[in-house]
Amino acid sequence: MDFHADKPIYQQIIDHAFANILSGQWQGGERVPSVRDLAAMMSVNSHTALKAYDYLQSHGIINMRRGMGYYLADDARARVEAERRQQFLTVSAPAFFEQMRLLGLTVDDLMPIICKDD
Amino acid sequence: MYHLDNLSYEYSRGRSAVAGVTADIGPGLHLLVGENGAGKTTLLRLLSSLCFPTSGSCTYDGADVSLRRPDSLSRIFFMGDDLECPFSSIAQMARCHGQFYTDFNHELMYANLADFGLTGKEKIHTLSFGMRRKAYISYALALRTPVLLLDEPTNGMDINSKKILRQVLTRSVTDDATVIISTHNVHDLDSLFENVMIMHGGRLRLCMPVWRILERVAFVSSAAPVSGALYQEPDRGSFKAIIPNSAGLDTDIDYRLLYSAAMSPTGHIMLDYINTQISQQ
Amino acid sequence: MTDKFSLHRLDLIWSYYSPAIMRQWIWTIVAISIMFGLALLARTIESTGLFSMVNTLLLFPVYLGPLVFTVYDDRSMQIQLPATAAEKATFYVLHSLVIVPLAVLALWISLNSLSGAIFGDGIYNYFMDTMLEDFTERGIEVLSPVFIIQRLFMELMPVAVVLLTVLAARRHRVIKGIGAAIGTLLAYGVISGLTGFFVAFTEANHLETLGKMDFSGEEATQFVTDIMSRLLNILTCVTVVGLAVTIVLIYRQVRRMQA
Repeated sequence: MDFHADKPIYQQIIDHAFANILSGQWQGGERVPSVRDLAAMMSVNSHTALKAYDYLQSHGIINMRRGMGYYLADDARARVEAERRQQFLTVSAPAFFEQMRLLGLTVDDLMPIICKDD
Repeated sequence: MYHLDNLSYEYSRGRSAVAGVTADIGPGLHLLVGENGAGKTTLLRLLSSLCFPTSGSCTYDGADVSLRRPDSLSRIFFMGDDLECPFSSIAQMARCHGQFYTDFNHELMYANLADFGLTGKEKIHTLSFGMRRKAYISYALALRTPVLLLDEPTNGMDINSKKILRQVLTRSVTDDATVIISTHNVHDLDSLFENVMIMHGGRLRLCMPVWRILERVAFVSSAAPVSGALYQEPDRGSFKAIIPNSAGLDTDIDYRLLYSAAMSPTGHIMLDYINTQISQQ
Repeated sequence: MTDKFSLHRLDLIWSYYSPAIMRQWIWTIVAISIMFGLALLARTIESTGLFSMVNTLLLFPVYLGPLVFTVYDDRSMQIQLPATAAEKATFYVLHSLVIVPLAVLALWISLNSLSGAIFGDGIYNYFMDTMLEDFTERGIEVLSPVFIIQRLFMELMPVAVVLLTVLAARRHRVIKGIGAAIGTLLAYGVISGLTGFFVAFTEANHLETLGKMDFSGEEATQFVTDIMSRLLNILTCVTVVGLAVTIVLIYRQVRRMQA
């Protein structure tokens, strides 16, 4: 995994986890890699991986089970989708429309693209 | 989860080995550093009920550790730097001692030993000091206690063995386990630690996850002295500094620098800065 | 995991100490066998003196039984062993004061019976009559309950003191243990002597006030018997109390042990 300079590494790890969840590689209810294993896999420090897992845990996407480690929540996929939607609505979409505004484009200019997708 | 409340251990002459430590210690790998005589070993012994506090309390999962209830004892294991195995071999220790610990895992023990080049059937008295340490650590990790306290585990280990120790730790320690490693040799294990505890003069000056420290401060290197640094020191022609991380830099922690800073006469400046920002988050 | 006394954990404690206990048992068998050899010699040359010596030495493996717990040098692991302090102390006391003495006794009785096959009568039996005569002469009723209790507790006292020493001391435990055994025997000798003197003195005074200072043979015997009887009672009380106190101290020491 290549790390981009603009995004904090822990954020990229979170994105990586989201991608795994949405793609189905990490299944709900199953054990996820331990903090240290993940750190080793991504060649990052344990504490960076922990920060990512702390985030995931506080958003209910992973849970800690005594004696066993982190497990993916059963509704993880739904949560990630909700999280992604939230990110889109609060960050990506406004940025997109801001771009449009700067370029002088309107919703009408988008119609051909939207119709093509249907 | 450990809750320490004004935990103290005072010698009869009024000297304190551990003075008024109040902290919460949760799961993860903790690095415990401090100068010789800072109270690290005493703290670990208090956490494992090997000695009783002269004041204050230490509870683990709600139970006062000094009561030495079998339930607590089976969940905490302390391995001192002077542990002498009372058994003739690790295999014998596993047979005679392992049964006390409900999560003890034989396969894990043999896997750990194998990484160190041991079978577990060797006679302990024929092993060198370093080999014995490796054997005990392999065993201790296989007990899979929720709390494992290791005092200077890398004593007597060569560089290669420390690398293997990393591997062994990664395999053996689950995310929900609390492992506190007191060591002077941070180097070979540094990327494994998620939490730092710094003891100085019997006081716990810092007890925090590394990522939180890195949110507060940044570790930078510069050709010229850095203004506004919480701490800096010259390093082979340039300067290494710890600065407030207002810019949100994503730097990596430098344990040696952090330790030097904490031990320096102006260390409290840096420590206070890191510690007081918590309430604002 | 319960805080209540658990026999299962007692069994686990046994597992923990079993390698050392087994090793010690081998040494004990060797020692007892050597003494048995000496006893055989005593029987062959019909020396009561030699037999008495053997009799005294015989108990040393029992007295030093608690030294098995020094072999380990594992204060840290001992304290951390997941069992209650009461369970650990009970194990130490049970092993040192009950199991080892019974085992040694069983061993000695077996060897005695074996020797019976050679000599027609067990070695102990042979010397028993002589000793019984000796005791009776001195006015002691050998088979009285008081005497048996007193002997029993008297022999267990050094064991308890050695156990306490071994648990309390941090260094040089073996030397201190042996010292404790010898010390207790010496102390007991001194106490018996002093008590005997005290009893004899008060008895004599008592008789004096009654105006009787010239004894006939029978009265002298009665006088001695009275003294021995009082002496025995006092010593029994002292020993029983002493043993009880030592055992309480042992439990306390295990609870408060620090590494």
